[in-house]
Amino acid sequence: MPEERERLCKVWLASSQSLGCKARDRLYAAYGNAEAVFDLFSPDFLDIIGNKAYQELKKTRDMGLDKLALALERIGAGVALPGDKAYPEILNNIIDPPDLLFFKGILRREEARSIALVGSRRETRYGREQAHKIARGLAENGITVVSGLARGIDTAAHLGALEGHGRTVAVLGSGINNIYPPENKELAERIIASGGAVISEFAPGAPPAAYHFPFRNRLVSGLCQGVMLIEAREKSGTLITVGHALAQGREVFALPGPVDMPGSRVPHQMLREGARLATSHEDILEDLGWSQPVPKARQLEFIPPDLTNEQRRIYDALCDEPLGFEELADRTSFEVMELNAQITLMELGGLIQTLPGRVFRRTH
Amino acid sequence: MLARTRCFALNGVQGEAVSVEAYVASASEFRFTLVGLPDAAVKESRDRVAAALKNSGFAMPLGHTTVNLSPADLRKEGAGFDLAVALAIILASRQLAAGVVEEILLIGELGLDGRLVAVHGALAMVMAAHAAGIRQVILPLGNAREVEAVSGMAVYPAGSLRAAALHLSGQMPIPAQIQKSYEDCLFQSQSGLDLAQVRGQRLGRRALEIAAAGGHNLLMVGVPGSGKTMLARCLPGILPEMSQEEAFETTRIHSVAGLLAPGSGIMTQRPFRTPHHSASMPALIGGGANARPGEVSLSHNGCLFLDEMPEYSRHVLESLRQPLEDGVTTISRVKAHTQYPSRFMLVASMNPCPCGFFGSQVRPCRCGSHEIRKYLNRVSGPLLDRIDLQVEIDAVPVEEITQPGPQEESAQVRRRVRLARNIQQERFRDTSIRTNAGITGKEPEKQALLTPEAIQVLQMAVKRYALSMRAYVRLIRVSRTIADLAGEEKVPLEAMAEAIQFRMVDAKYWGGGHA
Repeated sequence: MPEERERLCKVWLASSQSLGCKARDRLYAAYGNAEAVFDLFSPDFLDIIGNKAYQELKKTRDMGLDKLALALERIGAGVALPGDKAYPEILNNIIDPPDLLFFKGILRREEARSIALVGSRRETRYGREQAHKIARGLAENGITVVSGLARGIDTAAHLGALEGHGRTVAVLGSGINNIYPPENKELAERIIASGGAVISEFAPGAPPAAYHFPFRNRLVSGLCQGVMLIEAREKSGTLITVGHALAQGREVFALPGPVDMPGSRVPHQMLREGARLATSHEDILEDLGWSQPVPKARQLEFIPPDLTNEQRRIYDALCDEPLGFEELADRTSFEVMELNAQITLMELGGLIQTLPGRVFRRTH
Repeated sequence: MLARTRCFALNGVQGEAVSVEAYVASASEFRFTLVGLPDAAVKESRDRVAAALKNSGFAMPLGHTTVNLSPADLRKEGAGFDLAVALAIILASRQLAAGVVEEILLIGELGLDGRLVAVHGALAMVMAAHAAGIRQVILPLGNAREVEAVSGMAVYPAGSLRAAALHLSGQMPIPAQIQKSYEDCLFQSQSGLDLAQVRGQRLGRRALEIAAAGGHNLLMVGVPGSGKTMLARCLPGILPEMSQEEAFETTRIHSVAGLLAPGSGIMTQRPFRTPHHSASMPALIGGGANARPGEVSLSHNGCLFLDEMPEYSRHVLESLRQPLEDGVTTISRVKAHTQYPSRFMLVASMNPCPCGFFGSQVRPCRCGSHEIRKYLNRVSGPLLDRIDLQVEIDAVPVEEITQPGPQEESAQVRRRVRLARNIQQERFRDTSIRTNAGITGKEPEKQALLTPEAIQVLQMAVKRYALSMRAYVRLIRVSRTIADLAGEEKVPLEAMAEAIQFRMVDAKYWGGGHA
């Protein structure tokens, strides 16, 4: 199978952590295809690709292509090459599409509608909540949510999409077999299990090197029709994603924030420079022409089946807004001990929930 | 001639009998030696004693004077032996006629002019002497009130070496101090912060009351300036008064540490210690070359307050685990091996995040979830496991500050706490448990007498909040205390439901909380 051999040779080239894309392109320019590079591999290459990459490639080459195929299978990752059924077509219209993608989960040529949600790793509660909400809204409307699996906004976006039972794709800045940050390993598993995908163009074991991320960011925007910016500080990597989005002709959205927060400055600057303001998933859908007028479901006042009189008092007090403990005690004029007990019972009954800072609100 | 006097050396808070022997041999040249493992301060007493004798109308005897502190293998520290050494020399050189003085405890440091200066640890020495059958003591005026509650002891406060000598010879007897009963001492002072001064904070007050009633350790989480420290300071005022035994234990430790002001009496207020967060391990646990008591022992029978707990260095916090568990701290040093009692209530406060405003209704939080997680992780899980109650403290609304309503006084709360403690004492009479905080992981449901409904709610909560086994036991302890406060024999559903509101919430609550 000559074509299969060419694929494996490409994987062979991609398996080197030290072989940069420029050196690789030089090889292609000199030898035509990966198979030729593999067959003609010799110490002469040292000048083109440098010693480190040479040693790495030599080691894998000595192992043999069969072993390489086996190792790939063990990792459990698929490989997508341009033109493959799994290679997103939308990447073909960016300037430097990846030569090869490692992926886990489901990757499709036609990714109908997708939006990237990007933002600060040092997010605030406001940003986290909005990212979560918007991602969920998008997911519920069948939009794929793309992000980078980083801490902060990225994590919130993926979680929101999962909660909306939608599809979400994580583009890694490290190898597919080396999830970073480590606490998001479980999240990555969930994304894969839910029918989404985790993808990386770096060698499977590659570390999360700092220079990977700006490079990776072109895929985050490249995979989508629009990029939504939620909180970013000056000089953050998020700006690079936005830059790619503009170069690739993607729509840029930004969420406004409190003007005195450092994370709001970049989104606001973007808005001044012509980004679209979006405060919900509906804004995004509308601007991209993706929204059919959805008939608003008639709001029915939810009446919990069996509330005791005491619980009714608490439930009614929480009708407009969440309340802190002291306020709730004032409005219901319960004794502290009784209020505590009722709150527990209502919380266990799923009627109310506690927010950080002991603020209570209705679940519905 | 040979003369013998009696004093006590300190090892931790324990006193050990020391006999001071003086012998004056006639010789043509003058020599004064002090033997018997004395430390530097004791060695210096040679010079002090010599000067004090001279200035009190006595004289250093001619010839060889040898003073022996026996037993010789016991380390002797401090200046408290001066009086015993001086009087032994006076008696040995026949400058004064007195009967047997070995049955009189002599305590005091000498000034060069012969005046008696107060020493550390007088109460510990007097108590040890009393236990050894000694019934008379001469001590400096500054130490007199400290021992006024020791019954069965004739206390003669002396101002100078001369006064002590004349008392011994019967030429000018010192009137014995009138000893007080502990109850009389109790009446004297009740200061500290009163709960009536705290505005709002109903939840915080309630948590404080439960903590006091069950002897539970307490963690307060809240935005800066919400009044966590003020609430904590009210705790000693709502704990039941110290028993005589407790007061003696606590005063003894403070006396040994030299923290008792000269002229102050027995401590009737429970101690409230607030070590700064830069505190080192020896400062907190005790130690140093002489194995001094640390903050955990100084707060024995009282309360140790750690403000901004995550700011303390981690290994210092970790070292609290053993005293919290055992109620005793053992300090081992090359030169000393000492045990100090350290049964205290731990009250800690912390902000919910580095900037302090996470979850605040007033100001937005500027911290990322990673920063918050890092901040919370500074306090280890095993330490949190030893804290039964957690409460979140809101900032007090402005109306409450400007127009405060009437607030309950500490005395009223203390009355309820005392009743609840009495119930616990009765219940745990035949066990080693003192309060509900001591309920162990072995069949806690039975120890605490839960109703089936309470168990049901507890099980629901365990499932809903994914609680650990430790958290489960903590909830049982707290619910037992709530039931005791309500005078219920078995823990009803409501008590358990309330206890669940005071559970320890884990880092996920802050870090990954999606609204």
